[in-house]
Amino acid sequence: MQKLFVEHLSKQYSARKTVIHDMNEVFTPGTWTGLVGPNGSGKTTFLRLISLNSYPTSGQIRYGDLDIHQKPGRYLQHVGIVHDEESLPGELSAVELIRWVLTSRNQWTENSEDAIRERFDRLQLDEQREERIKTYSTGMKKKVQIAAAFSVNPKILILDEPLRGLDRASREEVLRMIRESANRGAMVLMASHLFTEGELQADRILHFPVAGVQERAQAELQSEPPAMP
Amino acid sequence: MTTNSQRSNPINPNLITPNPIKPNPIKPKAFKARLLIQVALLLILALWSFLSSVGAEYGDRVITSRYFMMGAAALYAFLTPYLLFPDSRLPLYQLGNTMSAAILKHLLGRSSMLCLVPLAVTLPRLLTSPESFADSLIYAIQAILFLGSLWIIAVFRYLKTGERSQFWKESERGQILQQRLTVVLKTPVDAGSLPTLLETILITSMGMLIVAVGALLTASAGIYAGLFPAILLLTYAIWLIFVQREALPQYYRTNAFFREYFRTGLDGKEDPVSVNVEELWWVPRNLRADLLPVLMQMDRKIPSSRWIYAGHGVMWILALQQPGRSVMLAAWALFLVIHHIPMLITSGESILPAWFARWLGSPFHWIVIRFWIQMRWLLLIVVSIFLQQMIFGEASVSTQDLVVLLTGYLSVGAFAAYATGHHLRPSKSALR
Repeated sequence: MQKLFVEHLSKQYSARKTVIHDMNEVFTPGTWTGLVGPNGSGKTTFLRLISLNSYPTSGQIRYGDLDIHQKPGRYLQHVGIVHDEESLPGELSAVELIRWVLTSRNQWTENSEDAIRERFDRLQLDEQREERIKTYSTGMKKKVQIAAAFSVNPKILILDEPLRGLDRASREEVLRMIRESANRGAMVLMASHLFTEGELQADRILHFPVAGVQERAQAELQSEPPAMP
Repeated sequence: MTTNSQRSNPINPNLITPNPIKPNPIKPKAFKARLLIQVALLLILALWSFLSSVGAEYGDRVITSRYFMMGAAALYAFLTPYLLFPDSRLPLYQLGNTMSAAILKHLLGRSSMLCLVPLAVTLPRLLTSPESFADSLIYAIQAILFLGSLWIIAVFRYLKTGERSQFWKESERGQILQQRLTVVLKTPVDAGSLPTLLETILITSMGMLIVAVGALLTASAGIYAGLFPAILLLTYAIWLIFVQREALPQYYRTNAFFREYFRTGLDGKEDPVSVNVEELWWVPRNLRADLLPVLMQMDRKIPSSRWIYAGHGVMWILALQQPGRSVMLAAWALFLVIHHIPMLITSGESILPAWFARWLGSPFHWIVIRFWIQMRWLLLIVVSIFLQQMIFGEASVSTQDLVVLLTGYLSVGAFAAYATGHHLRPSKSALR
């Protein structure tokens, strides 16, 4: 099982807006890492970087020897993503979507239909699973995202606010599913506002903003030219 | 300086600006750009219509125009509900408690291209006759009366369908009818869609009948008599505007119905496009798994097959007129470009969200998928053109033209696929 190496990672959205500065971390398989921090502290940016929805300003992220931003296709084979947005292909049903994901990844087997049914049963996405996703509520869309991410048995699970919009029973079930995946050896990275550090059940907590950002911001402030009179 | 309005305001004169800027929340910022595009399109169509009729006998021009008017009737009947409902401006009109006249103006404005496009195609070939200008004018007035009146009638009739549609959709009688029709026709039928279907048939039939009767009267009693059916149609349209205005509040009800209808379809349970991966024989095997769901979604959102088949029908009607090689070449070129419109319309996040696309494949992969989707019409196009060649000979396009048309079709397809696929590459700087 490969580790995920974050090396001197920096991300800024403009010359004076640094979100992540010189971050260095190692994530190991079988570990559930909770990303904790206030709004705007860089959690989502970090998850977007490791899910290849954003590119670093400098530094790199390696999965084993693989630079994930250089070889996105090879890296994403191992990844399951619950995105922070609700967007999903609206004209398909939940079941059709999971079929698509599995066939696209050449993971379709004769047991797949049963596995899909079982997954949706666990997530309590009942009879509406055959209806089009565009008719779903926020929580239902989140359940579909979760089912899609778990359906490919990923080695890396990237979860950005996976519990948002879910009822209590579903939240508990999702947390159980995450724990099971971590116990099977998956590397889990999850950001959530709904839990305190104690409640998150993660093996490890990573605080945001990561070290260096405040210092960098301070330096930027000090280097600003004086205001015009 | 104090204005009259400032003096008469008892509350706070400072709140009134001397030269107030009237807020106009109805018109979007892109209004002018869209208007320019529409005007350009109309000019191109008018120019094409004029050029394609140069050298043709005036009698042939009139006959072709009648076919266009019949086609316009079908266009009004089919497209009006799609253009008008559900209306994205509805919350704005609710908020402003807008009066009936403004709603009518808005609806006519929203569907104006529906009327202007047939006019742009019909009038140049009628008005540019080198022979009798008086006759040309009468035929043009006939076309204007017909196209304008039928457009207003279509808008009004569809505006009133909400109540009936809701009744059949939600009532016990509707349920029973739906079950019976589904058994008889062996396909899922939504009783809620029946009033719309009936309106489609009614408006198409009414339009075609008026054109046919107009032609008969012209042939038997002279050119002025041919105006009579169009004047009848105009009378009906005026009656709707001035007597049936109370129907305008139906705007809200009809919108509500179509909003629910287009959102869920047949309770969200129907599957109008049920294709097996193996049926995609025209797609390379390694693309099928990703192409099928995109294709299914496109067809669920816009039933483009119907449009394409109808388009081939129009091309054959045109070919029967034998308007000449250059006209047919221009018509085919236009039609082939139109093939790519459904893909452009359905290329947004609602079909393939960027994060999801990146998860499953590279941007290049999705560009290739979108390109291959357009290949599904290729065989039909080739067969249709080839048959026209066989039947009409030199009056149709040549083999060399066919090669040019197909090259153009593939090039536009490749460009459209690139235009709708390259954005899937993640931004290296901006937060998306």
